[in-house]
Amino acid sequence: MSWKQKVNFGVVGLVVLLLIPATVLAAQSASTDYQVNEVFFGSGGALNNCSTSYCSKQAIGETAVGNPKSTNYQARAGFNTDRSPYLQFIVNGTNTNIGVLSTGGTTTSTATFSVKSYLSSGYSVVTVSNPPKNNTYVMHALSSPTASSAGTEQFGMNLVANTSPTTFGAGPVQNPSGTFSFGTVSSGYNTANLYQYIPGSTIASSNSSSGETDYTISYIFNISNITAGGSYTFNDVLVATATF
Amino acid sequence: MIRRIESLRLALHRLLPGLFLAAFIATLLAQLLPSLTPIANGISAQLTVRSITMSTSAASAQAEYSLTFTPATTSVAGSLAVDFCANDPLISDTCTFSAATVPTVSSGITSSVGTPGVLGSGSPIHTITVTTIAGGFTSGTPITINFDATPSAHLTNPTTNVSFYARVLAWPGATLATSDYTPANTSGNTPTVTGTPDFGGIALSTAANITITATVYETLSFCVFQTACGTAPNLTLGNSTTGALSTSTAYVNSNAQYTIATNAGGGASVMMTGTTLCRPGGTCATGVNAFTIHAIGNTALASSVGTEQFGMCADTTGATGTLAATAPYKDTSVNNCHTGIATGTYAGSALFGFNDSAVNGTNSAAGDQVLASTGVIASYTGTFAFLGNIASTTAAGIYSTSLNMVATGTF
Repeated sequence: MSWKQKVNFGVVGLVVLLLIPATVLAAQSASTDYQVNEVFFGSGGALNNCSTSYCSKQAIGETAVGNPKSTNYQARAGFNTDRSPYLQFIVNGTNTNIGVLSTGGTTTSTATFSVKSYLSSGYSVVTVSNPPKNNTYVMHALSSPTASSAGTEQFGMNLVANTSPTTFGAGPVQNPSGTFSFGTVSSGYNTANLYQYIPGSTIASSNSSSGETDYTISYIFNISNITAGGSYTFNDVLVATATF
Repeated sequence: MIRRIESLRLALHRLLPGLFLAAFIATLLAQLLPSLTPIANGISAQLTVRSITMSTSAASAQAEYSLTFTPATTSVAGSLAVDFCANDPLISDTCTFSAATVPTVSSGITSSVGTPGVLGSGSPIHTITVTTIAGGFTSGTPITINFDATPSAHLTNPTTNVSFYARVLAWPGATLATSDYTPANTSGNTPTVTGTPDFGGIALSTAANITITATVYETLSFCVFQTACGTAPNLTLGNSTTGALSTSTAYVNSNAQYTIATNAGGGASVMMTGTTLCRPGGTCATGVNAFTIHAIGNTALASSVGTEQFGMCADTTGATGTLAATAPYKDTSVNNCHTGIATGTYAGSALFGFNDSAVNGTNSAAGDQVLASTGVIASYTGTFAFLGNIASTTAAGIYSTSLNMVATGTF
């Protein structure tokens, strides 16, 4: 081999090597058995292209994006997937006065919250508050799914659409669609027209990383003739916990 | 000169393969090195199945945080740091923080495992440490550490509703040198790490509360009647034919009834005002009085034929909750103002009382308490029974009294 040939060979070899895209790693999420890192395959972008002052993620020519998922596995496809785990939990804080309760009928109310959990193995939403309280008197909370009964002291909730005691509430809405979002309502709170309230219980969850799920809580209030008079306040504190 | 150039050309010719080989290997290593070294900064492996459960998500609330993770590395001793950052959970990144966006922690925070502490300076402190973790870490075995189990000011949620992150680092040693981890509030936004801790990021969020207010009207219904609510009792105490009391027979009249119901959470009280049986022509004052039949007083007594007595007891048999008669109108005998109490002659052992004191009895402005409860009263109907006995010295005449009952709820 002449020296010119050797030079050409070497130059070509280096060029080929330089064309091999670098593998950029940032350890992200793992289970007991598997760990998934954010890996960039291809030549159409970069995860972290930085100048002195700015950084950017770049992508061109993507051929497949989305959130493929099976029973056991889930992936985020696309050049611009975020490498940070994320938990978005928005409770549309309301301060509602539902007025005077009556032994002759049921009073209802609704509230909404949404959860989005990224790069997690799921999340759960727990309601941690005590039932409505009037000084030291605590309104009777339904400890199992029960139908509304006017004249009987009852406080309960569910997270589905109901037709009794009136038409109100809504089931969970997957946003943008069920392809990307997987939140579900927990047992005990997922049957229409049946209500319960157990402080510390899980009311919604997802067993995988999930896009946004919008939930509606439907509350019922019933009193009896010995329900202590006064002003009742229910300060519902929801806690979302994601496992990464 | 030509020979020298030729010599250099030959030398270059000999060196070229080596140079290209070295360049090839160097380039290849540069490409593959990130794959062979998982994380920069000497950090070793990732903690798995990690989460932090907050006792409350309310902004600014004092909270308990329960940290759970599965260690990646086994060590006989252990220590860890939990650094809260607003921007991301990545160990190697800068960490932004403020009281509005991350929890504020302080010295004195408790933990269920090891020796807790805090790291950093400035405000807010946002890094918790735990050293001397007994037993260290076992790879694959989850560990849970509860911080601030009795929520206090040592661990306070961010003051706004916000998503934030915890960066968890676990070292194999029992102690943690100050230099092992320098949080952002001390380092200037870029935490520094020494050693080879395992690590993991967790996302958390505070959120608004849902507040619902409702009103239940206070209710109290109380009725004293003879046959039905609205018919005032007009009782005769004595012989059913003559209407007269006797020195040889006791008489009882239990035809007065009452119904009471309230949702007063603090209960209700029934007070009675009025005099003992009294005849016209004089006063009906308390005590020995020629114009009255002597009230039994503030201590309940059984009927005593031939002794001047006017008394009453209240029946609460079957009442639910805490409704009860109060002394001296509470019959503590086996009869409970219920058994054997019927209008007519009476020879039983029930106890009756009538405190007509002008200080704290029925002759006082407030009256004397007859019934009371400490909580709500479901609707209950009971009876008032009156006892009359006279002595041989009791002046003849028509004796009467008008008793007034007032129920008051405590809401």
